[in-house]
Amino acid sequence: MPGNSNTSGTNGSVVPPARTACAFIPRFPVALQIRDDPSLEQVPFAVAPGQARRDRVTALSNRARAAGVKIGMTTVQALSACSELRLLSPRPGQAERAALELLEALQTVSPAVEPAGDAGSGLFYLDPRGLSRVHGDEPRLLSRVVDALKEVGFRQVRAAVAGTRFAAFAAVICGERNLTVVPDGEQREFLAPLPLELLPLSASDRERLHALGLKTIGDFAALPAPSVEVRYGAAGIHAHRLARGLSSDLLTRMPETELFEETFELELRVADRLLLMPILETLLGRLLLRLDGRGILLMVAEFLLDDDQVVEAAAEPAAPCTDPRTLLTLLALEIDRLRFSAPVVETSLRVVSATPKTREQGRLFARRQRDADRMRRTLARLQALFGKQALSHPGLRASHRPEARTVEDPAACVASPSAPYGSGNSGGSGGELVTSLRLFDPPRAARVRLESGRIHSFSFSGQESLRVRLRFGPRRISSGWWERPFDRDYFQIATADQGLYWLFRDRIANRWYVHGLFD
Amino acid sequence: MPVSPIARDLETALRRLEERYPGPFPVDRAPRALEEASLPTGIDRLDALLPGGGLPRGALIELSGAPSSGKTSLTLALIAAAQRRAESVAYVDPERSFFAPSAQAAGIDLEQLLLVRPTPRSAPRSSRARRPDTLAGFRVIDHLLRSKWFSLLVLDLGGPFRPPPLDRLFRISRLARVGETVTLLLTETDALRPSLGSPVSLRLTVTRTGFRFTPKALSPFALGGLRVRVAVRKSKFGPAGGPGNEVSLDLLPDAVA
Repeated sequence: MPGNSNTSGTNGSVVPPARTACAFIPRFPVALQIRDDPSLEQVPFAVAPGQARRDRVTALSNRARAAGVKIGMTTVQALSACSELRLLSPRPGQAERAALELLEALQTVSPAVEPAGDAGSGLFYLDPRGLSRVHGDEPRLLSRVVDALKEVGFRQVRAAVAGTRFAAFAAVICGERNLTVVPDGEQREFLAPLPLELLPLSASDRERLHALGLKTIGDFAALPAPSVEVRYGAAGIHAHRLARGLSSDLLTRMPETELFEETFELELRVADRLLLMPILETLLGRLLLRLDGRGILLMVAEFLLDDDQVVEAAAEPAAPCTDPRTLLTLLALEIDRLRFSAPVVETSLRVVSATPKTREQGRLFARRQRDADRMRRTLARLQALFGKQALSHPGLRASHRPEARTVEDPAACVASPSAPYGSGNSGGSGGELVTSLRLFDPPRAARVRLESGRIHSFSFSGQESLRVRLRFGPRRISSGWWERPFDRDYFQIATADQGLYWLFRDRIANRWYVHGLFD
Repeated sequence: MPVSPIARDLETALRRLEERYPGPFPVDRAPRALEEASLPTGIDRLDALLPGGGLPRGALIELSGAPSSGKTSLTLALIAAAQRRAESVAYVDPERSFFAPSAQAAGIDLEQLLLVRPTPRSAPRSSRARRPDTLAGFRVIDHLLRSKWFSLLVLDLGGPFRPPPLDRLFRISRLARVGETVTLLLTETDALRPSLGSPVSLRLTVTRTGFRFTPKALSPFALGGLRVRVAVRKSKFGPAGGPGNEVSLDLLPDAVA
């Protein structure tokens, strides 16, 4: 049984107990910014994906938190809460590069290291078995882990070792001290008082458990396994095994990392960026040779300027790419957008992320051969031309505000290269002809003429006045404190010229808008 | 149903192989791919009207109609029908009028739809400053056609738009033919106005012939559905229904507004 103390193997030899160590950098995005710029410790700052008004804060420093800024605020809201706030956006490849450094540091402690989740999680697992002769007992091993991460520049580090991966994870999150050793076989007792939220359960399952009066992992572990399986399915029984300190999760050893970087020191100062492209082409050629067929996912060009400033340009193809022309085109598009304050004195090109190139089996006698790589290159090119936000999978969000009901998930275009658009899944289940709405986003301001309190005619977008033939409404939609307040009366309108419009009156600003057209 | 020359040659080759090696033939003959030169719309009466029993693959098609004619509803139904056949679809929306709840109500699998909303990078990011850039929409279509991945591409040109140069349209028409992609241009013009021109192989017009307004005391919805007429105004594919023929369709009530 995993997690139990020493057991005998089939040949009578003693099998070492399953142990997993976990290292965690709390609030990794904030810690990363402070590491890269220590002066940030003295100012309130927040991290957001971009600087646009609608971008939302994803992480913030203690000073920003004390000033009233909260995670999830838009950048505008955050700046109004704290006028001194510095808004930072992660540089391309910044988190990946830091994760690589951390991995390398941890590999000096244990040969088997596995990052958890994406590069921005700041969470790593290590295999501590068989290292006692090198590092001593488990507390000393954890101290060595912490020292290794501090050497990379992260000051606050938590580490734990336990009999299962989940117990080690719970220990770094909820442990009372920065270093926690959960003795072998005691993980269930350690987990018992911890909150249920740590378990990988869906929000609805968690609510149901709370409604039953279960608050801790121990409460959940005490439930009979067959009942958990009946009520919560496979996910429930997996969580139940974790809660009981049992887990079959194995550590996946990371392959040895290699730094793919080429640098070119210029003999002359180069001010014309066109002259940089042949240099980049040479550097890319060298890197591709070293990559030996592996496709590039993220590549960063760094330019050291004569005034000691560093400018970066990233090329991020939608799928692993080995085509130098595509990569250089993407890089050139990014470089075009850069501003150089001084001539370039040194250029370097670094591959941040590369994986084995995916290949697809062609189909015999298909209507036509579709080249998935080609499609992904097209998407990458379109993203470079129009921005990442331009390409998306639409999705739905529950919101009273009609314009907020459509969400765009730009990452999905890149994140699902194995199943892109119509590669086998069938479509939705509807198939009926329903009247659709064309939404105007943003709503178009309208001039409305009322007669006896009813809409008589209206005009918008410089068009002629449209006389109303039939109207229905109002249907009131409003919101409360949880989002930007709005209060609207919606009307469905049929005009004399056959148009079917969706109008609303903004009750707060007392203005009229056309929000869409039934078409 | 018309069969493309490639499919005909392939069928001949397969028949010869079967004659040469009698018995169970271990090759998937993919009858769907061999026989279909058209993309069925999923609406039987409309398929009967269209040449080849559906939207001809490789054709540049214009679907036009006045505001509230029902052309968007019809387009969403076409996308849903294509997705049900596991075809890949992209929707280019320079006007940003795509409304996901309507699309889902029409049966579209949103996760399998690529939505492209081109805005030049030089434009301010504030949404109020955005203007529909239909020429950028044509650029996107050009790129997507060259990928040869998609079976159906829709470019929603929305309201009044600047028509693209004719050479651009001819280029798109050629790329659509090479990639066997149904390229649907959605224009907001009525049947009497001229179409986008000779690169368009098939022009359909949608006209609303009626609608129901059925306000109920306890229901927030009033629009009780549309009746539309779809007519073939131009076809380079020979007769099926043929130009001038038309079909009447009923759209169910809007369920999301």
